[in-house]
Amino acid sequence: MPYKRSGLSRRGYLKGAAAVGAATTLAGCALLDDDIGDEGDVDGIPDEPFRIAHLTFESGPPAFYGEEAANAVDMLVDQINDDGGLIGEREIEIVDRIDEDAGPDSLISDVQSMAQEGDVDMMMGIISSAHALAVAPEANDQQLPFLVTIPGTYQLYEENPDMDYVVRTCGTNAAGAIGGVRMVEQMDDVETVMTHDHDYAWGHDHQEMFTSALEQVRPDIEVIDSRYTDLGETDYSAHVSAIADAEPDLLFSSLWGGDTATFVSQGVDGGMFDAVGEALLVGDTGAPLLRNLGPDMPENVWLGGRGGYQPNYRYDEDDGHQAFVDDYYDQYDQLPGWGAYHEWVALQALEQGIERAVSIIGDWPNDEQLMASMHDLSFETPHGQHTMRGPQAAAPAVFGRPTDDHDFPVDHQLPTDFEFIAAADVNPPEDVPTMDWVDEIEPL
Amino acid sequence: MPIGTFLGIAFDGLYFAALLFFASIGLTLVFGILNLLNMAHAAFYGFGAYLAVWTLNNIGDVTTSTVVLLAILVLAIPIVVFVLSAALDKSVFAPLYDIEPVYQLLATFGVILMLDDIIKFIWGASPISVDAATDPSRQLGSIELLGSSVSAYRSFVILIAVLCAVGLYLMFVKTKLGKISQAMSEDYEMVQMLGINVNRVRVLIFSISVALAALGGALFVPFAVAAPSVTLDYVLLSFAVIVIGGLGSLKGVVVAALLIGMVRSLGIAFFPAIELAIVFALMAVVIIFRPEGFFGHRGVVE
Repeated sequence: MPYKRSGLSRRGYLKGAAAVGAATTLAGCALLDDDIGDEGDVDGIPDEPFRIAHLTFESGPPAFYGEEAANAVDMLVDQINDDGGLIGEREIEIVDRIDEDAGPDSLISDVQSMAQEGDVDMMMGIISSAHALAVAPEANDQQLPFLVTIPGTYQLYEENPDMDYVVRTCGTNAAGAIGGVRMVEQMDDVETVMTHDHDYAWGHDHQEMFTSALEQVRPDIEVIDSRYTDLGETDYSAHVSAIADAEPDLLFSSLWGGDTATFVSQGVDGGMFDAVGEALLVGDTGAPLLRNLGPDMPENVWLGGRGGYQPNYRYDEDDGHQAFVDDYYDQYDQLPGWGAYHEWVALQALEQGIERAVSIIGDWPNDEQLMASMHDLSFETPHGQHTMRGPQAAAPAVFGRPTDDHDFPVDHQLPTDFEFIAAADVNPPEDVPTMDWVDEIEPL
Repeated sequence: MPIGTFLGIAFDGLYFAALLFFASIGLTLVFGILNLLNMAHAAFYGFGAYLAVWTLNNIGDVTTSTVVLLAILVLAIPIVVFVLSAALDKSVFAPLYDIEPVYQLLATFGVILMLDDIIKFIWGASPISVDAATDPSRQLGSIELLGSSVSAYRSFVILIAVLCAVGLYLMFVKTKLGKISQAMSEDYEMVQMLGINVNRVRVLIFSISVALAALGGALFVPFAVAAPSVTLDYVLLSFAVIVIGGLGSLKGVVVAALLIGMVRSLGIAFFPAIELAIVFALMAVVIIFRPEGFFGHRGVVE
């Protein structure tokens, strides 16, 4: 078995059953059936493979994560198929891989043609939040199941609350931004803060969540400057000097992908990390960033963000995680990073969702049932139980310090001294809009 | 403002000015001497950046010596591009010299798009950074200068830019090639009738110009990353430089690059949100009050 498939909690199971039941009257009848849950007896499993179109960045700065995402999907699909496929009966086939770099208009027309042709059973993936906001509602309108795996914008469901065909298995960016606030909340010697983010929605959202929440939980801290740079910026030197010169006690940044590597590397060169007290990098950082930077990572940095997606985080404690990391390393000669973890979590949700749907209805689920079956799931991941609240996950925040002191067969640093902040402390309660919650957030 | 802050801003400004100098000096020479408005010029800056990152990332098994790496950036890459651009001048650019400037602009814009796609075809569209082991910027670290710590590598880049500017000036006033070039900028036909092989001079000037752009790209990349956006960014900025400095003036490029470098550096320090707007506002002001730029219509070294 490729990784550990933990049993569902009873509560999660019942909630899921309710969700599926709500989606179909058939489910209500099927629940009365005595024969449910026995894989050998399931009727109606289609003979052809389950066809997935995978959307990810194959080029451009975000390919930093896209390459890993594609690697992980290829590896995990092979593993699932080696075990017979979904519920051991139906193999998965990645029928298409679509490069997100083509932009939202092109992606939308891809969605439309896939829906018309009917040659795809489900889309999965996508990295950019802007793309998710454009593509997800379209997929929903076209009734094309879409498993969203990486983009974290909190607006996805707040702007499109009724998407029956869209499920998101990653946490929102609130976990990264508010996780950052929870970290600062504990730091006694921080009086001044600077922020540096991308000059588009992702960066501005992070800056707003972080500074608004920080004002609530630590009104004594002053945000002295907020800086923004374009996606794909190549020269940060003047920003680096300005930050180094202001000597803030803390530097917060949600830069991500290749940009965070360039920024940190030029920051090291410009002495920025000597001038700031602490740096908190929440843009989904960790193994890929550290690999990129080689030995240069400064010590006064916290790396992380939404989800405990670091190869050495609870590696020894979690057999499933260990198997994933080892298999990935054997196959690709690298440790998995954010892109890979998100796809792993998504495919676990898919497997468990279908298992649950089949066990309830005794038949292969239709598209709507398929997506409903993933609502309110809960399953084991490196950061403990990964919990879906309705159609989307609520992730905890995990941060670590870079260190050379590890036993992994790679010559770069890895995070250590992990800080875990529970999902409930970094996400709004269900049905409360993120920014409303942020404006009135309570200290821990 | 504390002196350290000022020095930091000035250093960043100088460094950026050095890069701008490399990206735009050839543009102004080719226009001033050969009368070709080559929009594609700064695309060779991007090409140099990619060539450098590729070379540095493949040479790690052979050597990691800082001196060799710097020699690759400063000598090997410009020489390779010099040879390559001589061939390009004879094939792609030769027909462009005799047409109207508007068509030159359109045609050379086409060359940018071609170069851009060739870069993407060879190296892909994802940004590439230099491996830590063969990155001279990381190897050199920082040095103490007037009490503040500055990057040794970036100081080296500034030094090379100064040497190139001085070298070009000396070439124009001291050498035969320089004197012929100056004469060509004033009266092309006259020089031709004097029996000078203007085609040979043209190829030399063109290749030197393009090699300088590639040198800039090569020097840029250890400290930054090679990304497709570099090409277009520097095409725009190099036009700002020659508009402000005056088309065809060596001095104009130096002054305008310094001005834009400093303005951008101050802009990022104090008004980070409108950094680019400040640079292009400066260009607009110059166009309004001095359409020919600071040193336009004066010859290459006047």
